[in-house]
Amino acid sequence: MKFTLVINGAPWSSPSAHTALKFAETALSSGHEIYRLFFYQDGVGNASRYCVVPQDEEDIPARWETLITTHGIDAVVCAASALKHGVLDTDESERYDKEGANLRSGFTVSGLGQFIDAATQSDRVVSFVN
Amino acid sequence: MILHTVNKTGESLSRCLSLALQGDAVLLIEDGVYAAMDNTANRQTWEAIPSNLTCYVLVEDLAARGLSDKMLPQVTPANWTSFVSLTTEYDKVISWG
Repeated sequence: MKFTLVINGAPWSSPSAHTALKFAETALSSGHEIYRLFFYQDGVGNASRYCVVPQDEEDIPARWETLITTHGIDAVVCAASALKHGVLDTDESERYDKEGANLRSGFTVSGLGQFIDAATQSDRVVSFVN
Repeated sequence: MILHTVNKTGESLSRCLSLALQGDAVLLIEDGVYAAMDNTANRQTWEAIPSNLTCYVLVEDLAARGLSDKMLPQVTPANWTSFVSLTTEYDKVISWG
């Protein structure tokens, strides 16, 4: 089956990002396909490469990046949420005259239209809420 | 038929149970697993729901909270693979938070 996952939680504020990650890993290892990961609201925190996680804690953003790049998954970060939470790619950083860009590789910034597209193209949409 | 995931007890769970229809399933995840603990209040909750509303609990989240040996008999254990399978077996997934 084709899945789209909506990730609403930041890795540091609720267990939902961990749940979504484990679900994604299990779905792929069970032979399913992930059409898109959509990082929304606080979930955009998963896409920041400026997060530094203590050594004895799970580095959820790094695990997302590994999963996304290994499997070539389309990982979209909501543009409005990303700007509000300070997650910027190079274009946005230049546009708003900020120093540095912190979007992790494998992620792209786009809009809710990508979520609507995913909802129509996937067999299942599973949301991981705060 | 709908799979309802519930990640908290209290209001989230009661709203879900008041709207879930016969033939649906409820999967308790994250802090929602506290509703699978064997105690008087939870026993009353699960005895009051229709018999064909199945309740599952994510055993990894139960274990993470030290509740593995305190599970109600009315609740069916599910692992990550079962979580993924359940989402394919039901037509839609609603996430209650």
